[in-house]
Amino acid sequence: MLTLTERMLMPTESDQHAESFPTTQWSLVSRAGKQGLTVNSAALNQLLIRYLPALRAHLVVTKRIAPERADDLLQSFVARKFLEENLAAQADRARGKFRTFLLTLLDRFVISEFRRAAAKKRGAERWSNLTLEQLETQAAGDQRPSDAYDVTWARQLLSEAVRRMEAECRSCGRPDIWGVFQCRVLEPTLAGATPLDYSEVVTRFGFRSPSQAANVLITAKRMFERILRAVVAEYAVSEAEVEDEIRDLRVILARFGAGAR
Amino acid sequence: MLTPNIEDTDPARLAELLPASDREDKLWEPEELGGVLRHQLAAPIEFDLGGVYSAGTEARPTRVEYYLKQAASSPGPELNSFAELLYHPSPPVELLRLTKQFAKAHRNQPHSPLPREVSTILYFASIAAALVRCQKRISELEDAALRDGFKWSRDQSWVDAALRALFADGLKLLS
Repeated sequence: MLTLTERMLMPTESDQHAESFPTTQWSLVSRAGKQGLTVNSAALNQLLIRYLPALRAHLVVTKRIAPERADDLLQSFVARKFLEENLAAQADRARGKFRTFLLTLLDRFVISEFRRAAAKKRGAERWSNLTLEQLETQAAGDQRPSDAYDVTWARQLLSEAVRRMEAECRSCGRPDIWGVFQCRVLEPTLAGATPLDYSEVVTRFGFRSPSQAANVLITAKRMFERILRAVVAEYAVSEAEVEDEIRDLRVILARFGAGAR
Repeated sequence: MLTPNIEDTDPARLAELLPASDREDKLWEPEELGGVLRHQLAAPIEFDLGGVYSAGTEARPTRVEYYLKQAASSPGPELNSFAELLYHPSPPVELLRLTKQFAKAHRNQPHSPLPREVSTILYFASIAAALVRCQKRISELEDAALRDGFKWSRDQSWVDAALRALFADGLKLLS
């Protein structure tokens, strides 16, 4: 039997149209919440599913909840908060970014589940190494997301952008753009590989000259940036917030990377 | 060819995939900046300058055509691309002004398709060309600021020899 998450991840007919879910915008959610309107819940759920690994990292690393229990909690969170309850009704832009808003919702949900389990004497104390009081204190305190959450969020964001870039290159019949992006940007950046020499790029992709190869690389970089911004724009309300979010995640990744070494 | 796994990559490396808002990032390697610059210099003036004008200048899109036709009817080398404009022995100063505006607009635009470094080179190259070839000053920048700009432009490893010579000539004319 498929789990709820697996069922939600399966594409629906509407999902198969074009580039996933262009109608999912946090601004739409916010507006719908204020006006009492309904939103495209399937699209919203898909947005949530993309960033579930970040929420899971938050539960496991920051809240010190056992991985299996974290999965169960997330299943319930998705089912109750996003399927049964109307997320739009809870949306309030005054609460800040979507990334932070989601975390606040999850923290509250975890505390209420913790209390419920404790009341039923189902051994809530085994969920986490933290006590209920510690969880409450954490939730009431600084709401700045943890590094584990932010870093996982950024990974999901970049994975989605890379996935869409590859799909777009293939759908428009330009595997050369994807290939050049892979060997000149992705592999050197992600794996520390030496960028493929332009003369080799020319041979591999059948370009006329190294300058043509350089131009294709420029196109690829611009394309990636455009797609990346589009992925962020699905949960940001303005161009300024897209900019802010990218800058924020970049700083977090750089800091975490430096700290991890 | 397998794409490296983002899940396993050091976050610091991932940060390099996210564009910096000030554009002063490592997105462009020197050889790539050189490639973009060559591409821009080979681009037709008429196409890029066609839409550039502002309240402070008399030039309008039709004026670009006018200056190009005037240049075409005069003896001298062809004038179609930015490179031909910058290296022309007597380029129309209005076109150099428009080039400066075009470069400045791209330099100030966060999402410009032109890397900031390239638009900066084009900006100072148009000023240097007006100074050197037409003995006209098309910038209100003071000599000290122009000198810094010309020197910075001249010293970029990805700038070609002809442009470097133009910046060097421009530097000689500054006090």
